[in-house]
Amino acid sequence: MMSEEQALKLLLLSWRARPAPDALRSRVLDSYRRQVSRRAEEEEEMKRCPMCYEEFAPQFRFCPVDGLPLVTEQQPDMLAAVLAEARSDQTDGARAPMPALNMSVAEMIGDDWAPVIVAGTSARAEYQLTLLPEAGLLARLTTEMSAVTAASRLTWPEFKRDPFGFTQRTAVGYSLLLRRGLARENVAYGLVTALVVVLTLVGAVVALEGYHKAYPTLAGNANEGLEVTGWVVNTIPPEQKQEAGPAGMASHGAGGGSLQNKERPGGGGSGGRHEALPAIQGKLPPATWQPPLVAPDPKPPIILNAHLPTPATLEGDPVLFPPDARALPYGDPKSQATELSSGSGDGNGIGDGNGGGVGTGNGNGYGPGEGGNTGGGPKKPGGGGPGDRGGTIDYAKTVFTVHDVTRRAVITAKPEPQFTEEARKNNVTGEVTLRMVLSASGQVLSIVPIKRLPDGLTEKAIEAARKIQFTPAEKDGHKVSQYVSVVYNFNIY
Amino acid sequence: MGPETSRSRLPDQTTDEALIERARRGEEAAFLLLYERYRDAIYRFAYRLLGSATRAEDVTHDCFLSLLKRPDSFDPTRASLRTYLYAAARNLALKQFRHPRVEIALDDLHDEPHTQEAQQPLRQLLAAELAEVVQRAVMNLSPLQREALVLFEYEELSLAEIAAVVGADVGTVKARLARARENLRRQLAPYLASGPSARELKQ
Repeated sequence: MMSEEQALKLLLLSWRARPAPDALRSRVLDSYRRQVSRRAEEEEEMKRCPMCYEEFAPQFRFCPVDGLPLVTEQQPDMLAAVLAEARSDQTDGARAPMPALNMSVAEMIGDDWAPVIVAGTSARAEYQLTLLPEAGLLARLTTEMSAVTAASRLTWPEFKRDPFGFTQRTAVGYSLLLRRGLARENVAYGLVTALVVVLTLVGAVVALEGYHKAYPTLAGNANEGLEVTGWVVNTIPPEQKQEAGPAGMASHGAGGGSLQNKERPGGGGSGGRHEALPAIQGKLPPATWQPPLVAPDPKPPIILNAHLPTPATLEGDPVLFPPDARALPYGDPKSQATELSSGSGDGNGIGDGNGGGVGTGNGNGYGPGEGGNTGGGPKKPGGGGPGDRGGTIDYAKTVFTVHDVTRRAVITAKPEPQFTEEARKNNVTGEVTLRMVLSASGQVLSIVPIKRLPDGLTEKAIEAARKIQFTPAEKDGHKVSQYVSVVYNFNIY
Repeated sequence: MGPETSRSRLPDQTTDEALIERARRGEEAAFLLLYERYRDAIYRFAYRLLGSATRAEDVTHDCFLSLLKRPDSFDPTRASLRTYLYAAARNLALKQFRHPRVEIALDDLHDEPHTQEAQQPLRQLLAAELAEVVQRAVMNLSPLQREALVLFEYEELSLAEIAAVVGADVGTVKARLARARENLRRQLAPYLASGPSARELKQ
C-alpha cells in the first residue's frame, strides 16, 4: 500500500517540464557574444573621474560633477595623485589616504554627504559626535577652496569651449548626486519631517498675526494692560505751606509762647556797641526768662583767661527762641548787613536800641518791643503751644500730607489712561508717577509729574488723573486738601 | 593560457569555477559548456516557479548572463555554481512576481510536454488533465512555499542546499515544505484518494 507521502510525490511528478528549448541556446549565446564584445570595448575606453571615481562612457571628456578631465584606467593617474597629495599636505596628514579607485560616488555618498569628508572619516572607525571632521573650520575651508580653485582651473577650457553643454552636464551631474542622496534610507523622511515642522511653525505665527488683525480690540484695549500697583505715600516731600511764624518773628502771627492759652507775646530788645555799621544779619541766641549774663556779640568771644565760657542769652520765652544750630555769628535775623558789627546801639546787645538784646527796640529780648521777650510792645509772655505757634491753621487753604490728616482721602473712581499709538509702536512701557492735590472741594488740582514716560503717556496719565473721583481727606472734622502720588503702569500685554 | 587551446574541445571535468573564469575572458566554448551543464535544471525550476515557458526562458537567459554582467556576485567559496544559479533564477523569478507584467496565467498549458507514454489519445488527454490539475495546485501555493516544494520534490535538492538557495535557515525551509505539502494535499484530495496508479489500473 502506498503512503500518502509517496502518493503525493507521484501525483506531483505527473506535472512534467520539458527541457530547455534549443532556441534558448542560441539566444543565450547571442547575448553572451554581445556582452563579451561590449565589455571588451568598455574595458578599453571606460573613463573615470580622478576626483569622485565615477565611471563614464568614453565620449565624455570631463566629469559633470567635479568638472575634472576624465582619465582612462590605463592612463597614469597623475592628476589624482597630485590632488591627493595636495589634500593630505593641507590637512597635516589628518586625512586618510584616498579611497581605492573602485569606490564609486554612490558608495561615498552612502557613507556620508560630502565625498571630501568621507575620505577623512570613513577610514577611521573612531566615534565622532558630529558629521563634521575634527579639522578646524579654517583648515577645511582652505582645503575646499584650493580644491575648487584647482577644479575650476581645469574646467575653464571646457567651459569656454562649450558653455551650454557644460552647464547642462553639470546640472545633470548634481541632480544625480542629489537623487542618490535623497534615495538614502530615511533621508527623504527626515527632510519632509523637518519641512513640515518648520512650515507648521511659520503657519502658526502667520495665523496668530491674522487673528490679531481680525480682532484688533484684543490688542487695542490697552487699558487692560494698566494697573495701579499702589499709592506712593512716603516719598512725597512734605510741602506744607509755611505757617505764619511766631508773633514778633514774622509779625503777623496771632500766638506763640509757652502759655496754655493762645496769646500774642509781646516785648523786644536791642543793644549795640556803638559801631558805625548796622547790626550784622545772624542768628539769635537762645533765651531764658532770666536776665542774660552775657549779651550776644557777633564777634567770637575773646577768652583772656581759661574758664568755662558762658553762652550768650536773651531774656524771653525759650519756646519762642528755639536753638539755632546754624554756623552763623549772632546777629539780627532781619538785618541785611554782612559785616561783623554789633550795630550803633548801646548796652552790648546787637542793633540800634539800648540793652543786651537784639533788634530795634530796647531791652534784653528781640524785636521792636521793650524790656525782653519778643513780639513787639511791652514785655509779655505769649501762649498757645508749640504746635500752634504763630497762627491758626487755615483748613480751607492748607494742603496736608497723608500723615497729617485724620482721615485719608479715599479714591472712589480711577479711570485708566489710554495708550498712545506712538507708544505702542515704540513699545514704550513703564510707569508714570504723578503728584497731585485731592482738594477739599473734591477737585484734582496741581498735577505734577514726578516720573515721566515718552510718547504722550505722561499726558495721558494726567488726563486720566483729572478724572479721579474721591472723598476728600479730613482733619479735625474739617474737609481738607491732601497730597497724593499716583503711579500709572503702562504695560503692553 | 593561450586562446588556441580554448577553441579545441574542453574536457568535461573542468571545474565550474575555471569555466566561469574562461567564459568571462571571452571563451565561448567554456560558456556553452556551463550552459549545457545547468540549463535544464534552471529552466525547469523557473518554469515550475512561474508556470510560463516564455518567462522561464527569460529567467534562464538572464540567469546565465548574470555570470558575466555581475562577476562579483558569484563567490565560489560560499556556494557551488548550481546553488548560485538556482538562487539567481529564484531572485529573477521573484522579481517577476513583484512586478507581474501579466497575470500568472496558465496559457502555456498547451505547450505541455508530450511524453513518451502518452501516445494513446485518451491517455494523453487524461495525463494532460492531471498535469494541469497538479500545475494549478502548485501555482496556488505562495511563492516561498512553491520554491521550496519545487526545489525539494522536482529538483531534489537537499534541505541545506534549499536553505542556501532561498537564503533562509533549514528549519524555515522545513516549515515551508510542510505547509506546502499540507496545502497540496488539501487541493489534490480527490486525486489522492483514488491515486494516479489506481486510475491507471482502471484504465
